[in-house]
Amino acid sequence: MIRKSRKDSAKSRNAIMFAAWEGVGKAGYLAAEFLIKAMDARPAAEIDSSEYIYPSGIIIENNVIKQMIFPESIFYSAEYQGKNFIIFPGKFQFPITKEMPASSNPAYQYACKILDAAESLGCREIFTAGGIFTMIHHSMDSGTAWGSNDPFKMTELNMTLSGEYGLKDILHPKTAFITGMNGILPYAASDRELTASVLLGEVPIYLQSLPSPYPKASKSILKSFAAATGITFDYQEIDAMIKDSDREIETLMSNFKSSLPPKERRSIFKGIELLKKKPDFKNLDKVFEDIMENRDVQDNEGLSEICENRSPLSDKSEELTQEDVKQAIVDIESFFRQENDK
Amino acid sequence: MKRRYKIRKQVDSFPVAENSPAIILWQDDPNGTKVLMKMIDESEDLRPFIVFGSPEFRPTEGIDLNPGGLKRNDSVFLESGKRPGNIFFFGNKPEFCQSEYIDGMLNILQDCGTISCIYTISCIPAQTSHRHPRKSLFIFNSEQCRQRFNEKFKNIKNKEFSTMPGMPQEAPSINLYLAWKAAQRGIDCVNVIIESPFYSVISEDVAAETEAMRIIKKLTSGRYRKDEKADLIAQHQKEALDLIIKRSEDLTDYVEKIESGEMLSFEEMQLIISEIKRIIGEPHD
Repeated sequence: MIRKSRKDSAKSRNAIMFAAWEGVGKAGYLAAEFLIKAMDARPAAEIDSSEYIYPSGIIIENNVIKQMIFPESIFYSAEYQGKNFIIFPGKFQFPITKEMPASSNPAYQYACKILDAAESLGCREIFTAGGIFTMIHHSMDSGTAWGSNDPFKMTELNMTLSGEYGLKDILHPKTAFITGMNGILPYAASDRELTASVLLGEVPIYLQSLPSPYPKASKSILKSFAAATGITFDYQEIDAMIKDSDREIETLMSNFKSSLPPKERRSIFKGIELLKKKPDFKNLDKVFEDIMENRDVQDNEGLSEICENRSPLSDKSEELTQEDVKQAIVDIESFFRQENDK
Repeated sequence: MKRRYKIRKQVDSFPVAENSPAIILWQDDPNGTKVLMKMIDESEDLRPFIVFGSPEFRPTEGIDLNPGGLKRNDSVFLESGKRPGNIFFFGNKPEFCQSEYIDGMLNILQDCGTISCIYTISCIPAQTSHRHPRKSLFIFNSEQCRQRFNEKFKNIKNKEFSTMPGMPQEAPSINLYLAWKAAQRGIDCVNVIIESPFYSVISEDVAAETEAMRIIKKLTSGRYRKDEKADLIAQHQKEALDLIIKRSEDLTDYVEKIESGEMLSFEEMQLIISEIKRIIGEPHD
């Protein structure tokens, strides 16, 4: 059931929807929260998600169940710089795997319900947003990866975003699988010929267990969204969050550094420093896959080349191996996970 | 009502429930219910009538329906041979589509006839001593259900909790979700939760399972026959834990703290578990 607020019952025309869920670095969700505030967006509709979503809380009084709490599914709408926008900060992410059939699973049905509501609010185009782990160093600005269910839109995004924010076409056959609702919503949108694109902000691969959000990725999403839709923002607030986040990461890294014996410290931190060179993403694909799947890093010509020729650490005695880089990432990730568990 | 549950295997004769209870157990509960399921199987002469589930709910590795003993890796509905109409469900918790899965379970139960009440049985690790009797907590899916239960089972002791389990910010267990969904259909459901010392979760807590069995027997109107073998194992477990705890002054202090009603910190709890694990080694299936 779609409940519309009275104030916004007249539907907006040609609205662009920005939908995001909590996930990698909370990047998309944080961007959605920023948009609601920056655009002064107001609740416009709500859908009942109890059929699809596992409850997020329960209230029990004197041993009797009083209430089951489900994550909210609220659509916010705003008119901003002469354009209509709908923002949907999704509070529940489905554990979708490649093996799950699309049309029969509740994630797809939930996506259809979101699209029904969006269309009833006058939505003509959709952007979903989230984070993506890449071989980037946390001191660097995040870039954005993008994809679209519409080849014309893809060309447009390539032209608009490639220069400043460019990473690569994530819908390349090898890397086409986008997990969760960020992937399933554009998929469901294709079935009704609605253009939907995905914006993914970069999060360093070794920060998988960072307990707090990664606002640099959110900023890259927002910049890409602004460029793609022809609007502008004042990023002061998110810049302040980035400063705080940088400080927190530096503190954690420094704690990690001091917990290591000097020899190990040098090797691990050199491995991470290497990422500052922002090596060609393509060359690191194999290493990246190995790390994500927790396999031993296989011999990889691209990375060897980076290690041997492009590394600032060209002294033979301090030469880094592929294993050093992988080990550095895995060790930091593991340290952050432990910090998180505390 | 949509009938979207997947029945993987079904026998011809369906049970006829006439105001009968249904008992729900999960095979993959963290504390394990293997002993309990074996006890129920032996005393109730169980007859499986539906194997339930689908890869959409949880990846399955196959089905092994062996009427001579419980050896299953899928969810299964069974009828008591001793008390026809009484239904048991030994499930594997769904990883996806939980709402649909529970709807499917409730559809099957309603297809069996009139269910007086659904009882879910589980154990939770708690700050309780292995030397104390296991206590039980009951969560009801409505005030009326609570009243009916209290009138029917005056002798069952109930421990009151004001906040646990279930907080506004914490996802409920599948049993609580089931109870809530049952209430939407007007079916009574009681979550029976038996406390087990948190440091005995590293092995099957037979004392908790014997207590669960005793409660199940009362709920299903069966007479509880003392299981001497299980009692003996529980006694051995208690003595083994006594021996381990006596070997360390810290452990002795911590257990005495628990017995005096003091709450241990998370670090202290971890310390007890790791010390016991160190002494007896990791459990084996």
